[in-house]
Amino acid sequence: MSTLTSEIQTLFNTCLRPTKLAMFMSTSEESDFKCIFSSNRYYKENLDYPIYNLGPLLRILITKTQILAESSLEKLYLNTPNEICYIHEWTDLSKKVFIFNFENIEHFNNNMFDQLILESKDKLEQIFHTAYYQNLRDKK
Amino acid sequence: MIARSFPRYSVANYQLKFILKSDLELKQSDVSIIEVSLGGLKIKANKNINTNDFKEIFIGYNKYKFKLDITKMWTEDVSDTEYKVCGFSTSFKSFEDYQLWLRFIKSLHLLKQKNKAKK
Repeated sequence: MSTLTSEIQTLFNTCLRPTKLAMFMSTSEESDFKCIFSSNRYYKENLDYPIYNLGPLLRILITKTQILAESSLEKLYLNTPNEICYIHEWTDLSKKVFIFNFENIEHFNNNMFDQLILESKDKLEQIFHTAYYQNLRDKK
Repeated sequence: MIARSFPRYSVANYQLKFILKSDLELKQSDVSIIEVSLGGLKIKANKNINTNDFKEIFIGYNKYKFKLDITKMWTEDVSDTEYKVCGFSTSFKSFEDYQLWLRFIKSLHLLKQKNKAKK
């Protein structure tokens, strides 16, 4: 198991184990989201994903911008019911996104997860950076 | 400044056909769609047109027809011309209308990425 996977599992041990996670980044409006780390079979490292193909991310953005009528929102969960997205950073020049998959978890505690995310922002930033530099190094 | 949620695509060269539901009688030459995204439209209109009236738009492209509810968010006059540009947010009452628009936006995205790769 990679150090990164082990770090993430330690962090989310209490509410999200075994952790399946994918991290994505985009550096402009023009660019797709590069997967810089994935322990989730649905996402492949180093592949670029259009924003429209990241279901859990699109779900958050659509909900936030109120594009869809409330009665239709639950339909956005049909394709990715077991995934949850955390937007760590969202600026014009830097977008950092985590997608967690909880399909193998017996009981997903949403409140505990939210609390953990709030408490772990610095740690998540560190994990993102580690993943980014590991990804760069592995490509060389 | 808050970053925008969705990428924008220029459609100025697509000559999209559209009908704006409005109390005004509009000619196609008075208004044109210049940019679209999943969550919005940028429209160029003659300065004397009251764009606050625009609440619904039907857009046609090839065999596809899209129905969008729109709300004006901002206006900016284009200096030294008779035009202004306006930004509208979009919303969909029906999930099917949303899916159709998403499909159109996805194809614009693929086209843009393809053109970017060519350069």
